[in-house]
Amino acid sequence: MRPEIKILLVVFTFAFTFTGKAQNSTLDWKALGENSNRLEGKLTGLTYRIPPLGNNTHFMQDRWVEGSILLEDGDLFDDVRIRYLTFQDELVVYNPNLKQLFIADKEKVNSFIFNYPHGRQTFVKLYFDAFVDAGYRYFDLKYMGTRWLVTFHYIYEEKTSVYRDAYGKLRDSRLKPKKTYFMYFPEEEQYRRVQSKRRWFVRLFPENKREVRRMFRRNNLRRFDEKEMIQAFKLLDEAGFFN
Amino acid sequence: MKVRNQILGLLFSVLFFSGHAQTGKTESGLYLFTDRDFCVSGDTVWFKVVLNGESKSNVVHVQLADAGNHTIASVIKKCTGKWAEGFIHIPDSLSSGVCFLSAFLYEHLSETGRQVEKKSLFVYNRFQRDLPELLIPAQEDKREEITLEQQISINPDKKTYKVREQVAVEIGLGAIHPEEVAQVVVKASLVDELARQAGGRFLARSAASHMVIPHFQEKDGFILSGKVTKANSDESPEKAVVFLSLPENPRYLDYYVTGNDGYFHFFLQNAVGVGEAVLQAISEDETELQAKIEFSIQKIQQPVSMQKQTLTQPQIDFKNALADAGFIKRLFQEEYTIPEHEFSMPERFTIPAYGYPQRAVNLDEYYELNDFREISRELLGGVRFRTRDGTSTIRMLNWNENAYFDSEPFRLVNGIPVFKNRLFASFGSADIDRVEYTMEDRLFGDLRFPGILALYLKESSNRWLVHQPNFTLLTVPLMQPQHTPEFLSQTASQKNLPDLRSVFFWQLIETGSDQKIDFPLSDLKGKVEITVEGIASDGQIFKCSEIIEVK
Repeated sequence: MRPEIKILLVVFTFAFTFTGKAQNSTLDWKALGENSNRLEGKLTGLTYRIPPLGNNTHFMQDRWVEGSILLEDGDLFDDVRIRYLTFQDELVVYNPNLKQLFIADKEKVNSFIFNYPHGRQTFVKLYFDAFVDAGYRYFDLKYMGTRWLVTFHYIYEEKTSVYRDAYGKLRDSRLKPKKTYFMYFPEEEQYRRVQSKRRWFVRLFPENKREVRRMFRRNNLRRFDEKEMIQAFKLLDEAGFFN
Repeated sequence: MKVRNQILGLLFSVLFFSGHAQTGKTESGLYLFTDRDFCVSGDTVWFKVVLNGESKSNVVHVQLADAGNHTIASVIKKCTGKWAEGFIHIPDSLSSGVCFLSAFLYEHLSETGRQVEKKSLFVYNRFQRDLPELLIPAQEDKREEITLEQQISINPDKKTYKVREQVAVEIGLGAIHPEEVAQVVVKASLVDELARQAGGRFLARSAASHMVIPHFQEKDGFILSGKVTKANSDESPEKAVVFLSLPENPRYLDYYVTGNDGYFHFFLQNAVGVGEAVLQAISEDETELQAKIEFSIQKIQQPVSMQKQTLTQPQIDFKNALADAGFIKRLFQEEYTIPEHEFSMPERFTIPAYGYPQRAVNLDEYYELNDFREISRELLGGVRFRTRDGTSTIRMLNWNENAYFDSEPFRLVNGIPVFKNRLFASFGSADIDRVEYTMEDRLFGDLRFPGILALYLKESSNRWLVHQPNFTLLTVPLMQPQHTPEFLSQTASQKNLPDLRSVFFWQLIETGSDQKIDFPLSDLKGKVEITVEGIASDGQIFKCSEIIEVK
């Protein structure tokens, strides 16, 4: 037999083999196994691909973090690898069986927790009644008491002078992670923007300014960074100022 | 010395009570009480089960089995607090004999050698008159019940009553501390001497189920299990994906990947009533498969040993009177049997299992189109349906990538997954009510859907399933809904109608103080036993009773 015919035969054989496979049901049989069986329920979402021109600023975390996801019906998914996609305010989950990223359906998620070696970071889904973009958003829960201290993370596009990015593309802006603090009233489901200033906290209680000042002074709260704001919420809550 | 004595006393009491608790407690932590010890075939027997164990499960399985442990009926019931109350219909065709009721949790099915408590139920077939003898349980396996006569008193206002007379009873429960025994079951029922003497609670040892039982505790739901085999064979495929759809509203969809054993399990949360389920098994090589449901059944190593008992004439007369009463009840009571409840299952989320549809097309709003090819071409933008050489393909537009997916979308008809496009070709505007579809790449657990196409037909009976291979349409009994026994609501019976109740009172009563109860008697004459049953703090069942007579 001529070598050309042999090559053609091999090519045709391969072609038919793969066409045969394509006729089968569209399930990924290699990914499906006993690990796929979770009787309580399954996580659902939209597949996600990291955009080629995207960078690490899109995500809050640099790498995948072990965490847990609590769904609205109380179903808890432990030991899942997750990242918070700040750019779109979404939770991105890694499916190890399919080796696929997906954005978890926001309608189903209640909260999620990142388990870092140094501690935990909890996000809760809350309804934000804004004039524009009203809807459910994920908030970083800093303190949970009579009133909550929550943070909304977002990406801000800052104008810069023209530069070439890592791909050699000309750009005139840079993405910068930003956050806004809110005081959340869980019963009323309302928000009040928090300023990271001592004066703002004191003005919250015009009739008890002296007591609040004294309390902050005794507890060495001066800078009112995130750590001190959490401490301030805790002190005010314990002293009954939020009741 | 005084302090030393006190410490010694304390140590002694701690050791005494801990030892006592270990010996008395039943292994399962489940205790079953029934409203009657005997019944006529066709009757409804009510049960209460208390769950005293430390399991996270709050769903109990109650099964009625014959002396050879062949299951006759079974019920799944969710506990309210620690108690579950339900009923079991005794089949009309059941022969006279002694049956046993037992309760278990799903996780018990995999255990071997666990103590199983079986409560006897004497069943008399209403068509079988003048029964000469009966197989009754031998007494060696009978569990002793303790009596708390010093702590419980039962004082009826009289000893002898007339038919339909009101009975008032003072139940002395003041001596029982509510922290030790919170509630007791108080019952007043007609006495069958044979059931009273020979019946009771019998002990057996469990045998592990032949099914592979997942390590799972049923909370607010139950597991529906089954097995996949190749068509016309007992051999299981190496791997198969089983889809379970409950097409009634709210729609439910889940999948299970089977291993070599072929077993599959689905957890149905808060599903009550009786529902239609569609099972569909598919394998990679597209072999024709069949999926069968296997109900959770508690197996035992050795059935309770039985012995023959010749019935005396009064016993035969009593049994005949009961059978007559059964006939009359059927004549006069319209709601003699409790009808099956409709399926209900609260929706877990506001969105369907496969996500929100991006587009929904109501076909009634458009002119009539003959087949799905025309529908897709005219009305469904982004859906491509092609038929070439007798093979149909469907491709959906990937909205985010602006290109068509290279594989078939996830296709559903009335919420049931369909893997053959051939079926779609025949559907026209006359058949389809609406079409919902999503042009996104979605995940559902480990299933990837390159677009979703859901058809909802005008005809919701799913008759189209009949001619499809690999589909099994079945009616599944889910958890039993809440229901109240009819004799509890019957305060004063109508004089012109016969009243043939054999159970007059059956309720949970709080302890800690004396209680007064009253109930009307029926037209049936004989002995009536008023009993107080419960579980002592050491886990043992106690029973106190008092007999009154109806003449």
